[in-house]
Amino acid sequence: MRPSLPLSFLSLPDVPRPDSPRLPLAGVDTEHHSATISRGTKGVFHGVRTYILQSAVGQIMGTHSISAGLDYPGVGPEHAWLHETKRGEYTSATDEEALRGFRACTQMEGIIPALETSHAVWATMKLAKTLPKEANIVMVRRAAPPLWAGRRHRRARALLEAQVADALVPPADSLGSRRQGRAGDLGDPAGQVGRQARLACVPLLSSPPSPRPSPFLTLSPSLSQTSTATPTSSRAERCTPSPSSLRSETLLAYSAAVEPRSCPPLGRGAVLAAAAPVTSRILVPALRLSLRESVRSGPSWRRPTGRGVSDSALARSLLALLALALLSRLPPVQMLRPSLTARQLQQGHSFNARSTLVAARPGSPHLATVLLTSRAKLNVQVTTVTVLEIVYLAAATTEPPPTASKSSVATADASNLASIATDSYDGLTFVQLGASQSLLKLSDTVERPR
Amino acid sequence: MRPSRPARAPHLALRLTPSPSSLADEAMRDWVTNLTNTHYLVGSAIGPAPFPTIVRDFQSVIGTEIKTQLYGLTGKLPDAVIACVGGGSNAIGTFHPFINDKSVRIVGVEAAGEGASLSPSLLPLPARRSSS
Repeated sequence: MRPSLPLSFLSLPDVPRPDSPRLPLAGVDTEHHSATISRGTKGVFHGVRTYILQSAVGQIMGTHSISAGLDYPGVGPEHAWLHETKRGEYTSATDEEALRGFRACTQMEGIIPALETSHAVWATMKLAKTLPKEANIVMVRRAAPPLWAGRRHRRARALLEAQVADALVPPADSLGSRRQGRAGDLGDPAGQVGRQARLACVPLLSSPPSPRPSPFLTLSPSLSQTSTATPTSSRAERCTPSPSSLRSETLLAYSAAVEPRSCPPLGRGAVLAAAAPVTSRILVPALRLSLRESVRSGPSWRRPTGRGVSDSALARSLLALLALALLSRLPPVQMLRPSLTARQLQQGHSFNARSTLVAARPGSPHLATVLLTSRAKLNVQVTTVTVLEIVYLAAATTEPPPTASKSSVATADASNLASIATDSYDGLTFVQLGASQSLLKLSDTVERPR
Repeated sequence: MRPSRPARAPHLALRLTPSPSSLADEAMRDWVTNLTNTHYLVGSAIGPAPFPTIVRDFQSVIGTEIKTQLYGLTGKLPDAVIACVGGGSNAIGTFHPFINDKSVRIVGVEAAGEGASLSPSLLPLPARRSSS
């Protein structure tokens, strides 16, 4: 039975009032969002009168979200109606909060949500704290990205999952919030969920429910089958995702993260590459998190001694060095040992780098890491690619035509490098390497900075 | 016309995927140009009537199944249903069967991106209603 739209909704004034006073609240007030109902005004877009994000003269404004599926300047008219009639409550989650929700769900439940759903995960965790223990919350997750999301979304997920998946191994130590006002929000978030409310996950499309034991109440997609999972307390069990619940690329990313040596499609030295269009979107928050953690987890850096050093120790040391260098404003290239990298490089690993990415996280040597620091005006850059045992290090002097960077990046097939783009954010510089061919072979030694 | 997403996307020699909005722009543009031989199939609960209703009705399988299965498992309705809202198709499909069940809180979550100050009534989730 469909309730009819009240006519009052249609007769509301449609003049946007961008100058209407909005209370300055905690957090960042930017225009880079797609919180249509929360921030939009009434207008007509795509043939429907609803809340839209528009400028003062009625032009649709650009939107931003970490997830492709929510990156839309309008909203369905019925949501506008639910909001107008106060039947529905509409809240929002920022990119960072979505990432935290993503991580919490992945870490605690072994269920890797879509980035869209991650927003809902965050809100679910917040809501669950306000509800009594026996309350049932149903959170709907999308089991597959929408078709329009395409490669951007999938690659972003692969990257994020790879990055977050290695957080599965250590316990949740780093969910402390950066912002003081939110510090209490997420202490043991999924534990809160598990204790306070039962959460049902409904796969929307086709993926079968996972047979893995979980404190989640699993509803099967079809009406004929229902299964109630039994809670388990073992972290190891809970953290192991069922392959059937993951799509293949997710599985690749995950298995590479957890067991780099037993990942047949990628193998050692493989790189999980991410598409560049989302790099800054995805990685800026992720990288800020991980950098903060690497600094926080602090003194784990040691000089790697010889061949016996483990992958993670090596990576951790390097990352700690880089973080330290960042802090001390020293050119990190002076602190790293090119002989080590050269030896590693001469082993001739290759990786699939259509565009290489950017991640820095202690203990995630499976990720190619293109790092990261810059002095003022991009005069000194240090680029580090960490792939399992490979440490690739080059110092690049990036003058605005990036050809200077090409020549100074010491890959054997430097001609394959189509572009080097840098993006500065918050004092850090992100370096994107675009490869014109899909295979870059790292077999050369490292060039010294000029 | 506002600049399309590819025009705003960064620089690299990489394949760019347009945003949902750009795709819907183009689809609608083609549709209204070739009305005689084109039918518009939209994937989200957006666009002119009756498209949101059509999508809503099909997506409401989700909400119906939630309602049925959860009732079979627990004997009651959920206390809250939460979904993310972009265009809002999955959310409205979830919410629709619960609209008349006033005890069920309906919570939509939007993407605030890098941060958006919200109207004060929206910032924290409201307290639990007494009707349940």
